[in-house]
Formats: sequence, C-alpha cells, structure tokens
Amino acid sequence: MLTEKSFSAGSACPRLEKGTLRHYSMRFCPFAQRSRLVLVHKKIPHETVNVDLKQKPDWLLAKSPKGKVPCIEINGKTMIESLVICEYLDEAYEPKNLLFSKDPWKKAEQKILIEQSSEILGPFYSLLRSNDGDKEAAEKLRDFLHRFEKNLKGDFYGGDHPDAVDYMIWPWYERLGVLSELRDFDFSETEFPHLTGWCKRMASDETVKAIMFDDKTHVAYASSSLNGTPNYDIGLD
Amino acid sequence: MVTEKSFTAGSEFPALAKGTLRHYSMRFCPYAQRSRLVLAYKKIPHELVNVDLKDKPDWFLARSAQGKVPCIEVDGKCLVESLIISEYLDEAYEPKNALFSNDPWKKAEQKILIEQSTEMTGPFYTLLRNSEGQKEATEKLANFLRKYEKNLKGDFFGGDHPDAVDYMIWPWFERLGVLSEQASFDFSATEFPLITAWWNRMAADETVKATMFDQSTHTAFVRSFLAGKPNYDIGLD
Repeated sequence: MLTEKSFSAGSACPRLEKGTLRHYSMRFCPFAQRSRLVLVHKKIPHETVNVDLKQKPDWLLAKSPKGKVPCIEINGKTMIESLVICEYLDEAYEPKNLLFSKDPWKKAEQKILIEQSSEILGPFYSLLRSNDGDKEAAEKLRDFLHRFEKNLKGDFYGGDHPDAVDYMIWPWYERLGVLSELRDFDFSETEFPHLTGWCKRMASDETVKAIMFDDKTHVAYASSSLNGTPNYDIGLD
Repeated sequence: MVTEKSFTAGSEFPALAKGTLRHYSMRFCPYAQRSRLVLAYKKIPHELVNVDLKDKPDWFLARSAQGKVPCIEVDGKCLVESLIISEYLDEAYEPKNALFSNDPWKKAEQKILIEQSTEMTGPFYTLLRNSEGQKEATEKLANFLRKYEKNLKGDFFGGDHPDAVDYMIWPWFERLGVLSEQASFDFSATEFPLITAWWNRMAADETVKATMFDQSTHTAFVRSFLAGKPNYDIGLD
C-alpha cells in the first residue's frame, strides 16, 4: 500500500495499475478534502498519492496543469477541479447512493448553494494570511456566516442527512478553529446557533469523521504554511 | 408577447402564466447569451424579459439575488448562474439533443474546458475598459487564445457540430471584434488561424445566428456602457 507521506520533486512516480483510480491529494488541502469526502462516502475503491505542493514532482505537473490537487487519474486520463471531480465521481460510481439530486432543478439549486458558499474563501484566506488580523476580512467572514445561518432549514443542507452541499462546503468549517486560534475569530454558538449545530452534526457524520483532522492538527499545519515551510506530513510518525 | 425593451425600476411586473418558463436577460449580456443559446438550440418554449441592469426593478431583485442575469423562473421558483442554468436546461429539456455528453468523464472534460475559458474574461474586460495593465491583458488574452487553438481538434470543440463548450465560450468570442476596434487587440487570422476558422463556422451556425449581434451593435453598446449610460435597447425601433 502506498505511503501517506507526500511525494516531492525528484521522487519517482509511483506505478499506477491499469484500472486503478488514483487520487492526487494533500492531507490538509480543503479542496482535495471535497473529493476525499465523496470517495469515502460512496466507498469508491481508489489509491491516494499525497504530493508536496511547494516542491511539486515533475510527473504531477505533467498530469495536472499547475500541479493542482485534487486531481484524479485512471488509465492514463486525468481530471482536475474539485467540483468537477466530485460531480464526476457521484455520477460514475454507486448511482444508488447519490450526493447530487437526480432531479435537474434540485441539482441546480444544490450547485447554486455550493457556488454561493464559496464566497467564504475570500475572507477566510484574507483573514488567515493577515498578520495582525484583517478587520475587514473578519467582518466579511462574519457577514457571510450570518447569511448562511439563515440558509440552513433542516439538520443538514440535504435535509435528514448530508448531501453534496454539506460535503462540498464542510472543509472550510472544519478549519474555522484555526481562525479562532490564530486570528481571534469568534465562531460562537450564541452568535451562530444553526451553523454551530450543523458543524457538530457534521463532525459526528461517519464520512466526515473518517477523514477529518482536529483543530490542533489544522493549527499546526496552518502555522507551518504561514511560516513558509508547510509540513504536509504532520502526524505521520 | 412581452416587449424586448428593458424593464426598469418602478415598472410593473409582467404577469407570468403558470407553467411558463421565463428567462430574465439583457440583450448584450454575454452570460445571458449562454442560456439564450441553449434555449434556442433546444427550441425550448420560453418568454424573455429584458432587465435594465443599471436600475433594476424591485420585483427582479426579489427573484434574482444580487440582481444578476441570466435568471430563469418557472412556477414561482428561480435559478441563477449562467452555467448552472445552461446545464439545467440541457438536462431537463430535449434529452435526445443534449449539449453535454452522457458520458460522465466526457462531460467532466467539457466542464473543465468551459471552466478554464473563464481565464478569458479578466483580460477581456481590462482591455475593453482601457483599465490599467493593457499590455499584460493583451498578452494574457493572446496566450489564452493560443491555448484554446491547441484544444480545438475538429471543426468545433464538439467535433462535427457545436456542443456545450462551443456555446458556453462563444459569447466572448462574438465580442472580440469590439476589442479590435476599442483596444487595438489584433484577433487576426494570421496569428490565430484555427480559432478564426472556428469563429467563422460558429457565426454561420443557426443557433448562434439566432442570438448574435453584429460588431457595430456590440461596439455601440460598449461605448454607451463605458460612457456610464448603457443603452440596453439599441436596435429596438
């Protein structure tokens, strides 16, 4: 079985068997976590190759433009873009266990929610990357979260159980603890009762539990990344 | 039949019959042209309501968050986002005449090509608005066109005939002539032979012809837009 340790520039490309689905990833990448959630939820057989995103192997750059993760590869063909990959995996595997709705209108509504929820990215990263805490970014993030409080009607965006929307937006919520710890961002139950409730339910979900990291690990990674020396292998002996 | 003239703030909401698909649009908006192309290609019965984007009617803002076009409405429900709408229309209507592939992997490849085409819009608008960074934008746009030249394997991105990729990227290509005039961007057959040939084939396509405007109309609109007084009704009586 392949090592979980990240492959760096100069390393040999691990051999890929015919017919095997490979997922190029990085353990702490939120975008790659999206496709990992789908792979786990649908129990899709695959192998994972973690890559060093600071010193990308040549063979990754040959497979994925700009060496982006996530990237999937099977029988010589590759695909990038986390949402495109997730939609592909959902359609091509386990059709009885769909994350996206079969109904075209409902599927469109899910995609709109996912699209709108990506507005978290801007303020999230602005705040993370600002040394002394970007007040504007914190405000924007706060506004965004308030808007999304209102959006949540049931236990999950998918109703009784998580669907595509829940999993596609989850990775950034998993990392809010980093902003609390490093940037004093207050994501409290008092201010965000719905969202914090949803976060607790998501953190108890089997699929999410199978691959999530705790606040401490995320903070350690984020700190290493902000330092300029990202440690992609935190937690691996 | 609803007038083609744009509805402005203070105007009355044109009544929408039960079961009728309505497309909120603006005649010169490239994003709205995407869904117009799909509606025309698949001959989907619908009614068009053009909106004044500078002075939006309240009833429009109530239907489209952020007042964006395109937006579709049917029986009290609305969808936004040009690509999401286009995918929805493709799935929900005339399944025998699909613009997106039935094959999940091929469909993903189409979406990636469409996704990557959005690299065009940044430099396009920089050049159009004569903003800072003209030289850079010219280079970016030229590089983009060269990249797309390589992606074109047949007469169209869809092979023998246009598919989702061709139609989703077309609107900005339709407006390249305006850049040649306004920003001296050289979209010449010498430099981009394959894309120019594709352009000519697209301009002769029945679906494109049903929705396109000529260069002088586009230029007139752009000039009115840059002057701060966009004339959404150019050409109507």
